Amino acid sequence: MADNPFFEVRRLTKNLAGRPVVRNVSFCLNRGQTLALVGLSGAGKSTLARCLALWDPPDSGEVLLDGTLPRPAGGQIQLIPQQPAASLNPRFTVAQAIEEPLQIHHRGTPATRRREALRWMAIVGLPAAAAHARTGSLSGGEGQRVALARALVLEPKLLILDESLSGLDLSVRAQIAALLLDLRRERALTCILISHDLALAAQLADEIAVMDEGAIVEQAAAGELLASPRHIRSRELVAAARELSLFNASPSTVPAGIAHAPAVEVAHALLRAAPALLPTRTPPEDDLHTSPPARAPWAKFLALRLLHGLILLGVISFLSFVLSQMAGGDFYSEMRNDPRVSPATIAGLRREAGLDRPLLMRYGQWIHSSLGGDFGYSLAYRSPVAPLLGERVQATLLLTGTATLLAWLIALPLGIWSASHRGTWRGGAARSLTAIWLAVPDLLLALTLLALAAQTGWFPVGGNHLALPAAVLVLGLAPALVRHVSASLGEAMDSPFALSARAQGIPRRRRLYRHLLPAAMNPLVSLFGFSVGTLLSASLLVEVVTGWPGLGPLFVEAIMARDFAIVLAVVMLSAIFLLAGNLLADLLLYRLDPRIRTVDR
Amino acid sequence: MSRRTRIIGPLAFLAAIYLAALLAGILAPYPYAEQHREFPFAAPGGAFLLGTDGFGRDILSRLLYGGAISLFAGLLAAAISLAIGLLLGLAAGFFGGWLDRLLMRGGELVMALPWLYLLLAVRALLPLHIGAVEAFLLVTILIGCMGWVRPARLIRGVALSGRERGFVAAAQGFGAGPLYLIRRHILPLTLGILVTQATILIPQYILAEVSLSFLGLGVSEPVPSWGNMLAEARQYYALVSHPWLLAPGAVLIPVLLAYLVLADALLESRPS
Repeated sequence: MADNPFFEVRRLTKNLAGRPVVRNVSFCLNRGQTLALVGLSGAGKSTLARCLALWDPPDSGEVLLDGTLPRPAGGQIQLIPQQPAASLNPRFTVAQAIEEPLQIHHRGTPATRRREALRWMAIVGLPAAAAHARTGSLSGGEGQRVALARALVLEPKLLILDESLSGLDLSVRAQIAALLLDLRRERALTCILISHDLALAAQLADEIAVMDEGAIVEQAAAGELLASPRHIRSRELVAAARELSLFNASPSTVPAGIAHAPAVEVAHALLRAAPALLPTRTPPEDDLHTSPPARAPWAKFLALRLLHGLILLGVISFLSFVLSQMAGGDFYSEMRNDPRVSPATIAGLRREAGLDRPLLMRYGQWIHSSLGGDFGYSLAYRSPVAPLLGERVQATLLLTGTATLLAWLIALPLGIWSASHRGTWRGGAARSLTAIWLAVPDLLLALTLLALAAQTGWFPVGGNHLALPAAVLVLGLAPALVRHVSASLGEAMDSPFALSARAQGIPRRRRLYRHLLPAAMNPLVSLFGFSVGTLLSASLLVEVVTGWPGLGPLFVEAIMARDFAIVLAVVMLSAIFLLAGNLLADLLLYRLDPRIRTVDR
Repeated sequence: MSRRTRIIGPLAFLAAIYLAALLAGILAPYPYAEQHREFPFAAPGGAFLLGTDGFGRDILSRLLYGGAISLFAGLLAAAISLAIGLLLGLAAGFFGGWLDRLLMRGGELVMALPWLYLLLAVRALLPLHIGAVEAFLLVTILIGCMGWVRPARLIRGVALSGRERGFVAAAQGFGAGPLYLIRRHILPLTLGILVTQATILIPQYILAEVSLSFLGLGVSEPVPSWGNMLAEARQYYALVSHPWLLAPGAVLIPVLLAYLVLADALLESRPS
């Protein structure tokens, strides 16, 4: 048998994050045998298991089954991973979970698969009635059994159990161990059992291999290793387990005089606490990844954000320019229908306007002149775009600036009031009112206020009066703001620090202003940035309805007149505002919250 | 109100409204474009339950047909957004790497676009007067293409964390390919997000269609949409003397409110 082993591992090595985790591991296993791999956590056992099961490819070395290289995911080697219950999708029923491997391998029909699942449920000791239970509702032991059935349903030649039995309570663990012994006896199952638990290994395995720092340091028959461990790590494990057995259980029930169960885990604690016993160890893998996040200095953060925004602007400008050029016609194409204008005249006008040059060139020209403050010539208005826009932008900013400021001034106290009256009937009523108010679109608000104004004369209607459009915008903006303020504040109130501040008897007002508001700040700052960003675009509809001479009406008229110089300029302006608003929010957050100060790639 | 009522109530109301719009052909007393020139701006009551507009067209009939347009534009556009979001989010979250970076950067780009303006601009590129069906589809698709980023990001997050779940690793160990993993294990995880996002997106999109049609850039006369019906109420003198022109608004608000309540109730159960 020794020259033709059933399962053979040759010089297997695996690195994780550039660090060797499994080093040069070789061993053989005969058919029907069980090998236990024991060692402290961090010894590389689970990584080895994943390589043996062909879940991960090794960096060097090979795995031979029956003298041949097994195919990955071929079903011949099955691994039950740590915490088997987590390997079950909680939405699946028990039967579905057990059928899954068969389904993935396209074996049988749904009916035969279901029969197989039920057969294996009986073998691992699950009642047939459990077939339709969701795996999410199973106990730990039942989950173990399902995981076992799932692994065995493909009739693998080798089963690898990775710490599968840890985390179960003692009686369940004994039951599963007994089940494994039965399965081994009846089905001549070849197993590799990975554990930090020497007692369990002794109970189930024929041979034990001790792993340390990724290598097998000693391998021997189970009894032999327990009786006379040679390597220092094996001796530590055996000694610690034996020592602890004095506290625990009657030695007669324990194989080879070793205590059962969690005692060994305590032994680990002892081993860790006794550095004299241990050679210096490389730190566990986790520590390498949790180094504190690098902080970006202020200027670098600003530069990165600016660069990011500029790239976005470039892409947006190019896309919208190309789109505008792809349009079915330009200003002159509408002239075609005019019998007084000859096609030659139109072509001449086009050439004059530079419309006949290649696309990229026109784009370059447009960008160049835009950067110089020249946004082109509006053919419909017979005037350069820049001064036309300047006037309109001022009007829009006056309107939205006033409205945004007023809306925040109204929303902050209302939101605070609403959050601090949560749970009372008044708070509930305020919440419902806000919801209803939120459901009224700007468009309807504008129409209704317009009608109201016309009927009552409370507001001057039409023309250049700020009152009506501003009132509409404030009414439109405020409910969303109120809700946000109230929600972020409410969240802060529910957080543990707020509860403890309350328990310490810090007065309500002080709690609110010193603790809760600063904690609720982040989402509000983002929101503020966003509302600055929408200053140019939020009021389009309202301006059109109320006749406010801002960008909105100009834009709609430009569209109707197919005057793309204006359309493009307005799109770019509002994109710039959006990006600037986001940038503002980012910078404010950076100032306020040190947690943001990490470089994000 | 219990969470259950706050889910069932709005759902029942919305179902009734959608059903009425769907059955416009049966329920509407008149064809939507039929003009009764002798009764312009007739007050509600009598032959015209909700009155007539300036051309003497029955407002109730137009409201029903227009509802079919505006409400289903919202549904369709939301379906488009969610489909794009689902596809891109799953791909980005599941496969990661350069695909993920590309899609997320693309998402930032889309988020930085001034959408109402762009929507209008794109609309401007096309002939102003196109058929009602083309206009409806065009507007709907345009609206649907603007809102996929948020659902895509949320779904990406779910796919990303789903990939790390033990049962996905186990299925992979059994030999499952990416398509199987996504279909059987990841997709069901995204269901909750799809539903809540739908309740958030649909009302936004209904409103977007209404706004576009109001501006004359969406569905065009004589085919009604709640937006182009409201456009008639733009003249405030008409509004003062004929307030029934605001009827679409009177339906729109409860519809939006129902979605709002629904979204609130749905979000409540999944504290993030």
